[in-house]
Amino acid sequence: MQDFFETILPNLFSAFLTLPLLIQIIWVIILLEIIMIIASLIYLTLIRKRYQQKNQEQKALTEKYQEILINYIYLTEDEADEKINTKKLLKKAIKNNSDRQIIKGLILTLHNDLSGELADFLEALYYDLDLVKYSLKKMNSSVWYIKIKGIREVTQMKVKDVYTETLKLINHKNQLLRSEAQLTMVKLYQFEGLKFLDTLEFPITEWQQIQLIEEIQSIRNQEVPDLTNWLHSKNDSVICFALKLVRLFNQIQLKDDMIKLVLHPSEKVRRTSISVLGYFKILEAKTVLKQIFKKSSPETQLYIIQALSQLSEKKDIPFFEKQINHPDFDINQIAYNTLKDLKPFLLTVNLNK
Amino acid sequence: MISTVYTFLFLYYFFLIFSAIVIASYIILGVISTFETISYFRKNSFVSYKSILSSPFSPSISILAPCYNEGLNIVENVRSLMSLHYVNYQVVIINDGSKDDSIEKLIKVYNLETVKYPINPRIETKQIRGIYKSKNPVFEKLIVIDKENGGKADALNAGLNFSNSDFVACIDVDCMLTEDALQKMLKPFLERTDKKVIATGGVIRIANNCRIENGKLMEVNMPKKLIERYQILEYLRSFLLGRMAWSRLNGLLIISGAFGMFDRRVMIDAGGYDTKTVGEDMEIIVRMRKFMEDNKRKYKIAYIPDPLCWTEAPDNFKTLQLQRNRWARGTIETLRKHRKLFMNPKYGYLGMISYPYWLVYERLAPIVEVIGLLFLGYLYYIDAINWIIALSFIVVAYLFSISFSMAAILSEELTYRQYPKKGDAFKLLVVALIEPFTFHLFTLYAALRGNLDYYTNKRSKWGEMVRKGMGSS
Amino acid sequence: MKEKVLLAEDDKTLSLLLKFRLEKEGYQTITAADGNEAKKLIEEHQPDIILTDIMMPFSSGLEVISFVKDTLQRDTPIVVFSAAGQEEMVLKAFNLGATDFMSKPFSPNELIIRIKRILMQKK
Repeated sequence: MQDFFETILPNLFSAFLTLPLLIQIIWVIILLEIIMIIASLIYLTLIRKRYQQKNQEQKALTEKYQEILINYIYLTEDEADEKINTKKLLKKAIKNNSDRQIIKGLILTLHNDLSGELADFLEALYYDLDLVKYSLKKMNSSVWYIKIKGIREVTQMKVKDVYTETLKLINHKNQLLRSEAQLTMVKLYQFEGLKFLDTLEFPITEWQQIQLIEEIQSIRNQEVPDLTNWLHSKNDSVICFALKLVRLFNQIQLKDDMIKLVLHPSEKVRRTSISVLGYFKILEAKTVLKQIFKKSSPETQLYIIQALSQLSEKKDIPFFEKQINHPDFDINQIAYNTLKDLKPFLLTVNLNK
Repeated sequence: MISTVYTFLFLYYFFLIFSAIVIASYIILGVISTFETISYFRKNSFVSYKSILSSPFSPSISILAPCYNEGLNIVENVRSLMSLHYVNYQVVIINDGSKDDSIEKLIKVYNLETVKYPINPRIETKQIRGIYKSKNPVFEKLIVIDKENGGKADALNAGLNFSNSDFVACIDVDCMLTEDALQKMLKPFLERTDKKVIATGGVIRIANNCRIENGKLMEVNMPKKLIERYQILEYLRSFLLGRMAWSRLNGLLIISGAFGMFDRRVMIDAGGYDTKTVGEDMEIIVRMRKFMEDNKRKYKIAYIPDPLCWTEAPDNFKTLQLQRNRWARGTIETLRKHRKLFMNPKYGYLGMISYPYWLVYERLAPIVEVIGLLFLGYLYYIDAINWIIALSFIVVAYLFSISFSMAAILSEELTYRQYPKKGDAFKLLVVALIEPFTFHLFTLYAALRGNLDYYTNKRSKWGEMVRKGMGSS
Repeated sequence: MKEKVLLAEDDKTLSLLLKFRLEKEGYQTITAADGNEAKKLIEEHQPDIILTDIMMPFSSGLEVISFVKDTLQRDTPIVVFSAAGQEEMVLKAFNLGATDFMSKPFSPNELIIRIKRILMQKK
């Protein structure tokens, strides 16, 4: 052993110094790499072990608290003592980080699937156990994904008085925070919450629109707001969203606004309004649709002819006869099928394929 | 005499710099990939896919699955595809003139009957023999197109012609998709307002030795053979440390043919799949990108790191060789076809970064490596080898290969942890240790054969993998 | 005689809660965590009423319904739960033979009332 340090190592070192610089560098890199590899190996074994441990812990804790929680929920008035004791136990457990995560998770998942008495009960419990405190803290975090978690929890538990906080985030530059804030507004304040559409500067993604509509669909006993303003918004995505609402709530009375939108500068808005007009079978739209047909892009033409097909009457036969020979297969198919419906005895039209 | 010295010096420094850039690029891509994966995780840890499943405004998706002689498993595969959780979708099986009983089996099990359906002939394909739908409303999502044999690309084009959906998911019919695969792949298309997302790619996971029942993944196991484990390691490196980075840089040139989702309109406008290449999955992406650039439209191709698609990997050297051979030829064909992109500033990142990188480090790298090895051998032969220098290079390259594999294994450990069983990580490490001397040399060989076959114009088909049967374990 | 309820629900907590509630009401409750387990237990225990979630891993609620009505050919009443808005699935469930459905979120009290009603009608 001594030999190694006294003779071999110094010899190696002097040999090392005789090497060209490039090779010296390479051997330093090699040394570093070896250290890194060993370190990663250790790290890898550690995290795998830790993960397995954590998994088991979590499983045990979940089972434990599942039982406690469900027992607590179904305790009767006679078992008041047990009620108080369990509550104390839970309150104490909340102070511990991992226990808190489990208990909170359980309450939130249950609350998600249940309604009525039980849902109210769970919300009250969430307050009583001070879990609200932690959720609000998350909401005030400066890290965006923690903020969102906080907002979610607070919204699900219907914590009031978060209006101002949430409103601030409506025009935040982080898209996810914006979206979460928008959803919260609707969840907590229903149609009133949609007011943000008046001042929204950013576009709303299709994904977000679908999320918002899901929330809106579960609103009960409220009058549909006046959508006219949003149909004239400077924000194109707001118009598209409003058109979806028009369709959802059968706001056929807005047909004049929709017909005007067929001439909107944004192609997406044009297409959406064309679809809705066809869906509602608004015959007044036919003239405009036929007018813009020629100048529209082939894809928009497809939308137009689909709508016209839904609006078709016998007097439209000449239009469809012209389109039988349209170069686009889908368009001439629609023309053909529409003619078949309008003129069951299709003898005079020459099918040119 | 002097010229030989200069040639040596040139080659010496050439290999040095080439390797240094390879290593540097791997490191850079690895780091970017890690950040991108972490970012994806954060953004998607609280996403709820409930709404997209039940919304009346959910886009329509057609799964296009070409099928050739898949009779053994076709019924199970179809059943699996029909049980996904997305609502607004259909499963289009394109029977590419199978010589076995695929179509008969489908007709029988799914109560199919012929229907009349005008198919848009915009992309030329081999003749369609018939279209089938099920009489049973339980299977109303299923459509089977029977056509003359034309190859995978041709079959996909037939599917494209048929479909009316907003998006198409092009898959290998024997790929097992997770229940939430469609909505996860769909999300990127709906999330951007500044750029148009034209395609999303998914990570392909290896299903060998995994327990699959009724078309659902029940248990993930580490496969038994080293050759299978090697491919897992390779896929982890490639997807977690490579493609995520390219996705972030918007430089992806390929989405695996096993599972990819596309904007149907853009795919059609770009011309559909090219039937004359064996690398149709790479070629369509390059062409779709070129199409968007030519039309001056902002676009993006996204990558989803979640494990959504599980497939069987080759478990023997012969099939693996055929696969890698095909990949090599596909790359060469695609790069050759689109050589106009090379260093062309008109095509931005695509032409100035992606294409050159792919050309040098994917297409040419095997050749450079072989020349390097031959050079080394020559030096040994003429006794001009400086062993210290040679050894240093070999050691640093070997260690780097291991480090990179370790990084991939760690990445997997910190993200999806698909292999949580005891000893699994160790098994992959063993492969990482022996890889540079074994599998790596083999893939090098396969790539070279690919090059050879390409230049000698050998027309080989896809290579039929003998199906082990996805239902058995 | 205590009536037998089979509950197929993949969310363990919800499942436990419902089981508790049902047993409090006097029903013998058997739980399954996925469609495959449900099918097995239905065949084994022959419950008087089946409650099943539609979206479950490995085997959907629809398959369970089909199993009971077509394979086992029993007329056991089946109540399906669905996440809000899955109308298409619910329609399919009814076409396959489901008796009733409750969309999530739902009230366990309401569920009990419906179960009682269905079981009374059966008699």
